Amino acid sequence: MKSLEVNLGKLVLQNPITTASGCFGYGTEYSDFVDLDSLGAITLKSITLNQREGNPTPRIAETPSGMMNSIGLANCGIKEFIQEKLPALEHLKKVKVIANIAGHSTEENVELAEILDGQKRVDAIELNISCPNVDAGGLAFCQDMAQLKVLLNKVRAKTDKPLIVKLAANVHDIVNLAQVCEGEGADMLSLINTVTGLEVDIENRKLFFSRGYAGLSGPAIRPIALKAVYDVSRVVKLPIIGMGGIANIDDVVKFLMVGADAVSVGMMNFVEPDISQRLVGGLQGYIRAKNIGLKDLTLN
Amino acid sequence: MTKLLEKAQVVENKEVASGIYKCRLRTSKIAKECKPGNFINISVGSNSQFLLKRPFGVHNVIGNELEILYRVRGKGTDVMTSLVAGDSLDLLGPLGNGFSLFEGKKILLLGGGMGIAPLYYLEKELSKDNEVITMYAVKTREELVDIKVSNLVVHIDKEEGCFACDKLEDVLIKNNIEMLYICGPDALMKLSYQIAKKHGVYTEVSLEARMACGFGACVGCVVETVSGLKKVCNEGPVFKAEEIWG
Ligand SMILES: Cc1cc2nc3c(=O)[nH]c(=O)nc-3n(C[C@H](O)[C@H](O)[C@H](O)COP(=O)(O)O)c2cc1C
Ligand code: FES
Repeated sequence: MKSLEVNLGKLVLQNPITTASGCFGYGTEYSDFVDLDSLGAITLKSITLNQREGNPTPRIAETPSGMMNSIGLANCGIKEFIQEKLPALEHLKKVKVIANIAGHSTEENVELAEILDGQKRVDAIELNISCPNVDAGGLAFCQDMAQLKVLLNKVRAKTDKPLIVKLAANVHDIVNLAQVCEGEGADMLSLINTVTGLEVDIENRKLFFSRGYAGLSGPAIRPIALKAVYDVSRVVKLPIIGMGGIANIDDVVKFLMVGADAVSVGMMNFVEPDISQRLVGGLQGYIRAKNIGLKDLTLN
Repeated sequence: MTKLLEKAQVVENKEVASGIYKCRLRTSKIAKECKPGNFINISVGSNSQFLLKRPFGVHNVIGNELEILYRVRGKGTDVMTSLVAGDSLDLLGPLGNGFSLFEGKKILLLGGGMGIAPLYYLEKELSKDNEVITMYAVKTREELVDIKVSNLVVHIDKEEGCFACDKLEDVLIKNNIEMLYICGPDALMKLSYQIAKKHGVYTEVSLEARMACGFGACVGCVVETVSGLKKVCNEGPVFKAEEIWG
């Protein structure tokens, strides 16, 4: 069997298939469907210092070839995360665990990074500065380069673990944003978070989601995600985890070809709960059939 | 309870009342694992641009086969009406917690509209060891599905000029009902619970929510309870009514 191992700087994955934050719970939700240890990495739901209930319902809307969500970073908080969620993943030997943090302020993110730095089961920290569903933090970090630099600097100072920064495509200049991340010590980039959108409830003549805007994901955003990965990888040297609408092996190959070093599966986990593991097999089969290695998956 | 992913075959899919269909599916394992109150997630068609699986309460289980009852409302169920025997579907289940089962009790089941779907299977199980009455409330006769249970009280709003909950108190008292299970519109469940509570009748309700995953991963399906938000898909869909309305 050809090796699927990938080197994302300091983070080595047994294969480039990972799962996206918010679409894979805390991992164990999928243990009936997937051998978690067969995956490259699992990224857990965004966490904050305190437990968060999240946004009012409705939180979900289906759209053509995708879905919108306004979950609002509902999560159990760092304490329960460390006491209950991480230990449940302790027995896994091969899969890497990526903890995703989404503090509402620089200070909160710094504190989260510091706490997670001491956690053995956390193999990397993903900093989510691209959530469209909260008032403070989230996408707001992408609007102010000075503030972003301070944030990255301070978080970087608190942890030696691989630091991934997760960006959204609906920003003024994603390439510039990526360059700032590279300059301030990020080890990797995750591209992309959901795309901000709007849905309307025509029956009641109001906006469907209580916050109005919500995040679009799924195959509908794949071309946007591919462009983001392509554009950024031309300019920035950091390894890239590509995501947005991955639904089958061809999609995985597309992301790898335009410059991603690994990929992440998001909402399709809801549709086909075993998809991540099947994609590992699918990728193995793909390179075997073509008699090539992972490194050959580039554009001509 | 392990959640299973399977390909199921359509055995039958037919209109049983105006705009309401019954679909029978052959499974290899899922049907046998389903308890009353569980639901299953169905992919309506792999070529559809609508990807999310749809949740349906388990209406009946016969050996390897299970039945669902659905009303055509929206694109997903619209596509489902064209299913024919032999078609295969992706199925995920059993999902959710299910109703509590008791023995030796006097029990009333109250189904409003499509809420009758999970109660039919519940009746089959409960009536083995309990005295069970099923109250089935619909707005009009056209939407009445032929339900075969031993003690059936049908209530048609339009014909009787009142709602089922207006008659509930009488039924509870006359039959010395000890427990009530409700599935139906929120207003019906809430009002009925308030009446039941007055008479000290233990009540469970089965809720609906917009779901993306159905197994606790997306946190999209929450409902407000007295102890904070809970996920309808895996902390429910069955809740003690007092958890929801106090
Ligand atoms: C229901 C839902 C919840 C999500 N929650 C988070 C989150 O908490 N943190 C985060 O960084 N991204 C979150 N995302 C974004 C995904 O991780 C991913 O970036 C995005 O959905 C694009 O991938 P996809 O099209 O494969 O779903 C969420 C997405 C969905 C659909
Ligand atoms: S439907 Fe996803 S958590 Fe309930």
